[in-house]
Amino acid sequence: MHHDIRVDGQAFALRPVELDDAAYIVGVRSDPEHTRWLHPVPSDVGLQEAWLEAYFRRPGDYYFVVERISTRAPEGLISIYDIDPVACHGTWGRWLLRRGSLAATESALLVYRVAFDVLGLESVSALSVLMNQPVVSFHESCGLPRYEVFPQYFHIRGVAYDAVEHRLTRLQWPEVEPLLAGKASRVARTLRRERRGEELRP
Amino acid sequence: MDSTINDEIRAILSAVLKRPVGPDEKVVRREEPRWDSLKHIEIIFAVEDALNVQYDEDEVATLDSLAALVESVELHRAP
Repeated sequence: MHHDIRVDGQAFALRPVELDDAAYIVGVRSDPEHTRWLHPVPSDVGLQEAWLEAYFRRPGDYYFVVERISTRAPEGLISIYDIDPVACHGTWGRWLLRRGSLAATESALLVYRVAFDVLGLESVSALSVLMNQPVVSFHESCGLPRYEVFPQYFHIRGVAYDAVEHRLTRLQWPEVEPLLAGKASRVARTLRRERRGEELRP
Repeated sequence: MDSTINDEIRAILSAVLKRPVGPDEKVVRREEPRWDSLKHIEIIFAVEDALNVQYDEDEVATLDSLAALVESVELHRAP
């Protein structure tokens, strides 16, 4: 949906996806690094724009570009969707970052801040392909328990895959936030150190 | 390969990945189910702190094995 939520971290920010991001989204989602666990998407910017036009009209769906604060360069995409206003629950996903990006920790931190602090949700889930081990492990490294496994939930290119849901509640959030914030802060220091080095170079 | 550096990084990998790492074992990120992006920066920061090196952003992405980490520390310490 059209929204104006922008949240800034120390090195990275989340800003609303705009129609002009269509080509960027197609590029990111077509990266072979990402396509294995994604539903196929048209490699056509016009079709992506049409998808975005429908998204802008869809309530309870917040799509963001992850961008680097210092350069405004996009690092990836992330979203919160399927908001249930009665249960105060949402799902986060569509999480793709450029290869080698250091934005993983801070983008996850920021999407949880949007969920709990901006949208006022009571819980938020992440639904992953069970075989997508790096993502499943990321959620568990953040301290999220496995909530449920859904057999044969995803169908990608004709193959059925089990899904695993990790869920974080507002009560658990104060335990997870310091872990993510601490790591994000250290990443930001690394990037600042590098920027200072570039500025000092003749 | 410097065996002290190797031993220190092996100990870091064992602590972060929460499993014993044998003395001759090769540890490679793509073969480690628990070496996710959060664990990756934990490993990098632990190596920086323990071995007194500083990595830049481009290096961080490439340090995806025990061998690469050891080699990087040796390069950083080279005169």
